[in-house]
Amino acid sequence: MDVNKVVLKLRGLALPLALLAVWWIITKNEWVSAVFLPPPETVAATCVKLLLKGKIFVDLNESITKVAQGFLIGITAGFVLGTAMGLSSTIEKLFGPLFNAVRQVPILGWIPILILIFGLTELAKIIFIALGAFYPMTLNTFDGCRQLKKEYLEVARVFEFNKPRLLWRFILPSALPSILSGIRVSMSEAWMLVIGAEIFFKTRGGLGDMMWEAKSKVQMDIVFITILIIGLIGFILNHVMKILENRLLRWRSSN
Amino acid sequence: MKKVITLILGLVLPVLILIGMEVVARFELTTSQLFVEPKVIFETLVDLIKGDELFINLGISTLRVFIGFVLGAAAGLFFGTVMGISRTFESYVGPIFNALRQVPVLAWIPLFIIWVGIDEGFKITFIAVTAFFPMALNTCEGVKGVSKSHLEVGAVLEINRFKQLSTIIIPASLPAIFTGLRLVLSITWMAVVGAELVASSEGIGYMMYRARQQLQVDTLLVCILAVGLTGYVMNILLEQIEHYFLRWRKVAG
Repeated sequence: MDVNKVVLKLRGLALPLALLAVWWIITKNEWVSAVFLPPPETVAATCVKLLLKGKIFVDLNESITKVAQGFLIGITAGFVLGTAMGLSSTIEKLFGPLFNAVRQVPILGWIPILILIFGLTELAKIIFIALGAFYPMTLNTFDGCRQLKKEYLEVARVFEFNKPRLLWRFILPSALPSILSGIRVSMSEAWMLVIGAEIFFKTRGGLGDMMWEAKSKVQMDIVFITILIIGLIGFILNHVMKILENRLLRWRSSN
Repeated sequence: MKKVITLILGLVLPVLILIGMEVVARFELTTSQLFVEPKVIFETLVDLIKGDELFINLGISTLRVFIGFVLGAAAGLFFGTVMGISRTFESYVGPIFNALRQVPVLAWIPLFIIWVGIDEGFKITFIAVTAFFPMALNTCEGVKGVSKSHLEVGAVLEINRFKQLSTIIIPASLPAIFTGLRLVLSITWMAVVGAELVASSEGIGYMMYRARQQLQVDTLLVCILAVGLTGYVMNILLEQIEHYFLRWRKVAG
């Protein structure tokens, strides 16, 4: 059994290693200009240099600060609207159609108008990220709130629970799985959009800008490294959220 | 009666917003040139519908989405199916696929611009790549989810691999495939706007970019409306296709 697992792991490494070998051979024989495909050792050396120089951490910090702000605003607003729509069908009928109409616009389509209204400011970028986090959070919270079983509602009625208590004891716990996955989806959306914001708003600072500048100067090695770092951080965020989800939902597996 | 009330409630907020804008316009509460009266927006809407510009740009973007969508979704469908059927293939390719999938799609833009340039090829490549990953993932999961008992029936009847694929695996994973297609449609529609905002001289994204530079808020709003509406219509079309292909499910369920 264990041997099988090791074999599977090794197989997973085969293709990346083969690609690395092909990459190395191509650059060694200069079949492709180093401008478009720098040798692996150059990329590794640049990576070490960047990490030692430390500017990358400043950019990283800037991106993460922006994501954190936009994400928090977005999921808070999404949680409030989602819960309100889930609890009251009047609110759902009031806000639902407008929400669904606005949601049809691809998120990047809001960029020009955000730039017009707020200029090339941090605020514009944060609103943009918040909007991206807002949609999935609202939808997931709303869905979650509506998943409450009828029996539970009846129990609550028998015990004459008031609304806040009903919300706190029944609705939110049963909506929790859906809310948590909403948070996770919102987070990965926000992480993508911060890179987008830094690229499309064309402002200084952040990993997206670092990437864009490297593109303009055709520094392929830096482009590779930033893609790697951006992917890695997205992965870590997602993974941490999943662990958190499992922790918070442990009580569910017992029944 | 209930439907009418629902409809009216849904219109309350949009109407309030319009009234608010009209009030601001009537009493001249702002001097900002960014503010436009509802009347002006409506006039621009009528003008743009009468003219060609909006439809030409929309058509160009739609064509790009279509080409990228077909290429990316076809590749994703093929790749996902093979990965779902063959454990060996998955053990070799799965890890690198999952690693690449972690990269947020917008982060590929600089790489593609250097490798492919900023022409049509770049837009199509970018759109196709954004389509590929979710499509492959959904297909793979759909294929893996095919019920064992169905496959066993196939084994008993001794059908060959090709027939197994066409009569059991693909029909059974169609729901997952359509979920993937719908997801891909909305992602590619976003990707085309992104690609056109970055580098283009035509298309709806470019029209928005130019409207922003010329401070034409009314044109910009009409473009946003057009983009949203087109996406919505494409989604409905896809849903109809899905209903058609999955009509056997209703009978079974």
